[in-house]
Amino acid sequence: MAGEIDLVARLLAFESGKALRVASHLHVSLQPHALVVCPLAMAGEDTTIHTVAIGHVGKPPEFRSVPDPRFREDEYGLFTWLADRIVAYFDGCRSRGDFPQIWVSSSPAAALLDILADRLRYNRDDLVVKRFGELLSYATERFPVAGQQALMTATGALRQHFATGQQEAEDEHLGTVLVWIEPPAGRNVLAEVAATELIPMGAKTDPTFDRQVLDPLVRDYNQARRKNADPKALARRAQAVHDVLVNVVRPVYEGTQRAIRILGRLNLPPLPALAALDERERDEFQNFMQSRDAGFHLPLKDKPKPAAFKLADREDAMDNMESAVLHEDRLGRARARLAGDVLRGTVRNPRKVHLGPWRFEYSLEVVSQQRVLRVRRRDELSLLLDTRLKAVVTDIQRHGRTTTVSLRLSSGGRAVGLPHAGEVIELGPGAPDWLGIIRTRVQMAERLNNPPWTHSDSGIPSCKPQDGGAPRDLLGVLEGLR
Amino acid sequence: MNSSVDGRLARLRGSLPVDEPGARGFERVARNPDCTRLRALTIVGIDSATAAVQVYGEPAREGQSPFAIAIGNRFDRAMAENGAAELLELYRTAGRLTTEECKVVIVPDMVPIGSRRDLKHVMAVRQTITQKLLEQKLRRDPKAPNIIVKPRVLVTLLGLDHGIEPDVLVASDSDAFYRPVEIKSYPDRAGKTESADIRSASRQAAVGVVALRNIACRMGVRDVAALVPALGDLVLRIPGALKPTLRPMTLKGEVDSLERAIQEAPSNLEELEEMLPAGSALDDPLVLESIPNSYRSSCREYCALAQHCKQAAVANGDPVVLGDVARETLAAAGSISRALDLARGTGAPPRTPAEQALAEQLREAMNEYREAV
Repeated sequence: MAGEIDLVARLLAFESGKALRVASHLHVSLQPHALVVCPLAMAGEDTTIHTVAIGHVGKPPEFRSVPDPRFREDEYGLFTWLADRIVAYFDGCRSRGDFPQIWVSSSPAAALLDILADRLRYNRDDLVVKRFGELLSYATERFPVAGQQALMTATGALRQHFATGQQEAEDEHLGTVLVWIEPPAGRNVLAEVAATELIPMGAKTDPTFDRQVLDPLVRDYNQARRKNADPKALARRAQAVHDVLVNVVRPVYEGTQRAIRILGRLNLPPLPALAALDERERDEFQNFMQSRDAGFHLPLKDKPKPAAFKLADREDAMDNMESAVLHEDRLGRARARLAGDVLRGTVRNPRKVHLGPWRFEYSLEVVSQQRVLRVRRRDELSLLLDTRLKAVVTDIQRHGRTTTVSLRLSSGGRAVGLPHAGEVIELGPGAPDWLGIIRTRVQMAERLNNPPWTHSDSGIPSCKPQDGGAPRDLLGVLEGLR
Repeated sequence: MNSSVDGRLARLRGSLPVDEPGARGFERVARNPDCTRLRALTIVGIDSATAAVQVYGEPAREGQSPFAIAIGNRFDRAMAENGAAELLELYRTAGRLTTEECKVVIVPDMVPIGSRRDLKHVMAVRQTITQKLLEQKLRRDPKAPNIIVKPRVLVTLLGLDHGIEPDVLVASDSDAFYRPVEIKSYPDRAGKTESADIRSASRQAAVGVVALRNIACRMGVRDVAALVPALGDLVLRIPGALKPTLRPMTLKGEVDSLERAIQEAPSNLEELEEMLPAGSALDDPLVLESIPNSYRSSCREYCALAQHCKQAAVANGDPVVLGDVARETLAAAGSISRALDLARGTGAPPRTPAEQALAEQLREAMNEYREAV
């Protein structure tokens, strides 16, 4: 059963009518200077912004709308206005040696920024808009990387810390998540959630609102524009569109700000890994800006080699983040125990065998009652209390609910010492390796010097057996390729 | 469709207006084959939005914004105008059609919906024209068109004849038969394209495959799967422009799931009538409520009854209100309150081995959660 802890938390949240915390530490780095950006697109016109609310954390928003984003000139006016704010913010972060952090309400808003970044960064006519697209690309390119702190969705950040009593898909609606976290006193939470669901909190307006309110106003504006109405009349119509859109985007902005406040008020200790994640974000941002200064082009689609590097980066980030949560968050550790990724048991038969001068072999058995265990022979596990101690699994025996795992220490025997008989220990994946990606990149650079047959014109290589026959330890050879 | 069938359908609809389900309607049935209520509505030709408003008295909600409809229509028109020049160019660039293969038939242009004409008659003529064009292709007639825009084909689905209008059918002169094409105004962002949009469009294209196989079968083709392989094309939009992109898709999974969904009971009008009390109609909330549903988290994406079904699930304490994982995991318990009893060791002891196993899992998770938090 996947995510048992989260399932139990959801059950309890449903019963109590209030979201429950599912993290012991803060998983996001709340930047005091962060920028909240809430764009709304016109339905069907996914590369536009109809209205936007923007402001720093804890500050009131500025609003900007266009009466009809399908008119390119008007739309580019909005982009230029937005660019001024984004460029100033990014430049400020750069001069402080810091990194920018943008908050949006939910994934659809992040997707809208992504599509705009893709579209605008190649603009040849307007350099300000092009710059806006490029800077936006920093945040949107970082978004899929685990543990990134550049583009945050309020729903995503809340989900890392709270379990609600509704479906996971429904957690993408910021309004309902906020209702679950801070339910209104004396009112039924489910009725309140049902009412809140009708308020748009993503990147688009509601279809009924579009038909009944927005469409007539936009039509009115367009008609006046076609008839060359006087500027005052046109401005009055544009203002009418702006006013109704502000009423839609304001709750999105306020909800996003409220989400940030809730996370801040949790007063949880930050995940120790956040320091390393912030450092990485700073490096990534400085590299990105230097690359722009040097005039390097941002590709729409990566070539195979950069794509392979990016993929490796993402895998590394994901592994590190999982590992950080497992080691540093109590709930993360509990999830891993239930999933069987952490071996918890009692030490039996710890042995230290003298092999020669200054050479010892350390071995032990761990007896576990865990229902689920994901451990195989040859796996290397680390002692979660002190990850310098590492041990390789040599054998696994299961009798009923009891599992006996035999291990041989591969490092830390002297530095940490062999655990004592009867001691309860936890073994699992190693600590996050923040510098591991450097080694991976060096290794990949060597391997990718010669493009593989899948990406060259050499065709499929012949199936000729290797000289000297198959290796004796095929699995060992394959593991060595890691 | 003979008149007696028409009469039976009308009786089952009661006071509700008829709505042709089209490819989108069957695609919805395939999304949730366990939902008998949606299937029943589709068989008798009632739109779920109509049922939500007129049967359950829910407030009417727009399914789609007028802005989204406008861009969709503009894109469809752009693909069909000038003799489907954009589509021809698209298929030529992809190497699927040569410059000589430029025979295009735009069915709605041949039989437009005039104010004086009867809609049913127009549709029947379009159907006849399409049938002739398909027969022409099957005969390997070199004059058979390479692109047919908005053909209308009559297929038997859920035991009844339905008119389906694939956006386009395409075939080169050397192809044995046509391949369905689904045109959508979604921006094509390669790997970043919304996967739910792609899945939905693929399922609609799969309805086209099933329809073509159905017709080929009627025309006496023995190996319909060889003639109409589970392949289709998606034509999407370049972001920010009205230019098309082409995505050939393998639709084996979609076709299989659609065929499976169609075979589920009630698979036809007779089975549906047997399910319902004699003389009852689906415009009666009690009758509609008596037909089992299967609420899932994805229902709100496509079914107007989702909100109603969710309220019922909440009232029953159905674990599905916590998500699809909860629905599967807590199936042995059957309800949220029972799952909580099992987790806490309160209430009646576990009644089945499955409940016993679930109780152990939940208790363990509950202890871990309390310790960690």
